[in-house]
Amino acid sequence: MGKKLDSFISKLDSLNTSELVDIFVPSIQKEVSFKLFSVGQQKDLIRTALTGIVGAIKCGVIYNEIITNNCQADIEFSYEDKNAILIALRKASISSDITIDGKAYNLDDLPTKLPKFKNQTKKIKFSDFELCLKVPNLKLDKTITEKALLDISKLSEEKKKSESVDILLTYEIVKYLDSIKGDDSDFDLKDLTVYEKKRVVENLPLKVNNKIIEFIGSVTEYSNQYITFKDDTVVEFDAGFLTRE
Amino acid sequence: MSDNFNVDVILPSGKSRRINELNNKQYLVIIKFCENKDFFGLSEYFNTIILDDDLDIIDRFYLLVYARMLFVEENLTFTTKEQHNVDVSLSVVLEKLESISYSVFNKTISHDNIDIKLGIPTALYFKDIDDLYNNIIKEIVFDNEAIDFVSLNTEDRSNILDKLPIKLFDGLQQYLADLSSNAFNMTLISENKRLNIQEINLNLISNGVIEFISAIYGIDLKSYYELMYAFYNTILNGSDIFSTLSPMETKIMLNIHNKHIKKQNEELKRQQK
Repeated sequence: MGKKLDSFISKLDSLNTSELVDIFVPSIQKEVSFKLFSVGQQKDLIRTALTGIVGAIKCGVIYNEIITNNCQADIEFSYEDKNAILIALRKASISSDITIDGKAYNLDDLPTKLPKFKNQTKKIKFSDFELCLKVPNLKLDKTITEKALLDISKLSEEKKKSESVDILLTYEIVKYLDSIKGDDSDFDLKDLTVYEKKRVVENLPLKVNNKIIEFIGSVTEYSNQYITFKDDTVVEFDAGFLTRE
Repeated sequence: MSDNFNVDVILPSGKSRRINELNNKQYLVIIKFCENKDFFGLSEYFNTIILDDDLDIIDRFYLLVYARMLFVEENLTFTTKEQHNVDVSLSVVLEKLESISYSVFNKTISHDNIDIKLGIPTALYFKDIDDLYNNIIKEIVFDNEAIDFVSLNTEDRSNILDKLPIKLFDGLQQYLADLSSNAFNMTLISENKRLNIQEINLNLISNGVIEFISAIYGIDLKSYYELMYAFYNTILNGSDIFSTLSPMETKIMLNIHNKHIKKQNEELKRQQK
């Protein structure tokens, strides 16, 4: 059985690597080859549906991992790529048909190639500082989301409901912070731990905070074009994204 | 030939099994698992004393309800609002299981050159969602090469499942959904508002089966120890026969003993008059 089983598994492996799809990656404006979704990945996503808010956040992390693991090239994906890649991967792996809130949609109706997001960085001045924001890459997005997940996991079920949104918002801002320039020195935020960056965010003036949220909103607005139908219905990347046919 | 008393049971699938009488020693183990709500442990224990690998979930369920009826107690007891006990025979549950039609369960799903043969789960307890998927796949044929999925260990099953094309996964999910919504969703005990009996629904594609089994086998551990104590001290002083008796036999003997004591007391009263 051992040899027969090994040969069977290796045939399945070759099947997975032979079924590839070329997908347009917005940040590099090029098509790149991807493996299709696997049953293992879908099972991982379904498991998250059973664990409430923590599961929903974990779902986002799994989708980031899928993009990185299924890509056949070594690319540093930007956060702005996520929506476009996942939609294309869903179309190739399952089908273009999707049902959202009981209504049938066709993923082919969504845009597939848009010009690159122009404002990759933004500078915000406040008192004697200049804050530099940057669209995060998927690796950073995953790392920081995992930290948020850890913080939320520690909360009681009751507190999870009331405090999760605040925690997520704080970490979302952390993802976009790139550097701070002071009067006397440049301060690269990359040298700080995620928790130190979180402390910086928690001490930023409200006005600055709002400007950061505005920048994040512009990135979201850009990438949401890939997942928004004409009637403003938005595709959600939850555990059911691969099954809602 | 086993030295235990055993009975032949015809199962809903048409298979038959001889089951050994459940004794008090085994029943005490079962009660402890029930008390701890350790459904995995309970399911594994039943695998060693009553069930075997070839039984599907319906047959397993049937056999355990049957054993409960025969060796522990025939009825389920409900308490009315007026605090009266109402007995409902477990034969109602057996009849429901006998009425399940097996014809809809065997299905093959295909994509390109892969065929997956599906069937009813053969487990009583599902550790996680993987366990459920692994349990419904019976055989996979890829390029005319067949793998007997049931004979593989859990790790190999998961490894193969993870590598299957995703288009097949929809078929697996659909099969599970069909089982859940149609064939495997049943009302075991009907509601009776007058007698304060609540409806008992069960989905066989879940851990509901082992939970139900745990509920019908479980009794208060302390009261069971009290029964043991009373038995050893009043009926079988110094004997070890208790552990080899079935719970049903124990009750019968206790009843005989109680009747005997009652008769003796009445005799004593008559003599005193």
